Amino acid sequence: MDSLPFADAAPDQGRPPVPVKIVIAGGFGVGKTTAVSQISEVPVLTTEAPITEVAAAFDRAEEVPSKTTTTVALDFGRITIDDEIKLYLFGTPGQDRFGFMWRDLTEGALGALVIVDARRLDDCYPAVDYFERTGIPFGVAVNLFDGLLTHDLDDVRWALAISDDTPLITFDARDRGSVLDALLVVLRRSLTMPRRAGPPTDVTGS
Amino acid sequence: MAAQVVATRDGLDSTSRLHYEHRDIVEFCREWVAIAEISAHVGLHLGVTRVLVADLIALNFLTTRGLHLPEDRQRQIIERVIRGLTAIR
Repeated sequence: MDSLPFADAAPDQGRPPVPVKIVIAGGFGVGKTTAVSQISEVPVLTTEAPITEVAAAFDRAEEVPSKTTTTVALDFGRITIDDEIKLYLFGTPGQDRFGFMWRDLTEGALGALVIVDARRLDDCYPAVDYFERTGIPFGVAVNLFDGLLTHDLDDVRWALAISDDTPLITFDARDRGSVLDALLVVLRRSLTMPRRAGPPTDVTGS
Repeated sequence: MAAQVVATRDGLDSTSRLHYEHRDIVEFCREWVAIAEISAHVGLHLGVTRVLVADLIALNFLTTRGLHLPEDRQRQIIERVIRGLTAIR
């Protein structure tokens, strides 16, 4: 690195990029990391650790066949949109006990995608609840494991108690085009949804 | 964590005097990068990276730009992101 010509290393005069982000939330093993890795132009940063027995019991991993490790912290990817805008995708566990990360993660986000495993709907309640309370535009994407939709979408909407305005789609986290479509749904929602004036009100409660 | 930082000329001039984590960070920041990217590259926990980046900003070895967009630009930015993602679809 020290041998680089110094002229290459004068970036403080350069025009700073505009970073924007979309948050990807959802329960353990629901496909967040898979989705981000399909579309990121850089290797996804992932902090993974084996599920401990205690956590396995807590997260009912036995209902998720062949998942042996799980994302415990944060994963993210990047897409360069044009010469100015960089889009970051941050994945976060959807459970309440990770709620301490959400304010940081969602600050300034264009929107959020909540990924849902229809067999474990309750995993995403805290995330859905958080985005509704904070007024962050979001969409819900049911990941089609094995291409099968185990519940009717109307049932999912009813069970999650999300408004008719909130986009609810099916997608395949392993399919790049499908993941991009899901993000586009979130962004279009972000365009049409009225913004709350000012920063979100205090959302630290419950 | 998406906030962008970049090394200043002072920072790049000073790398030989920095401790290794600080030096690694400054060296990595020859172009604008997100704090989360630094964390991934240097192999440090995000929270630790933030503290070290804050040190370096205080020393004027890094400079930063936040995430806050003016309200009137937000819509235009979203439209550009939509066009960008559609183009690579």
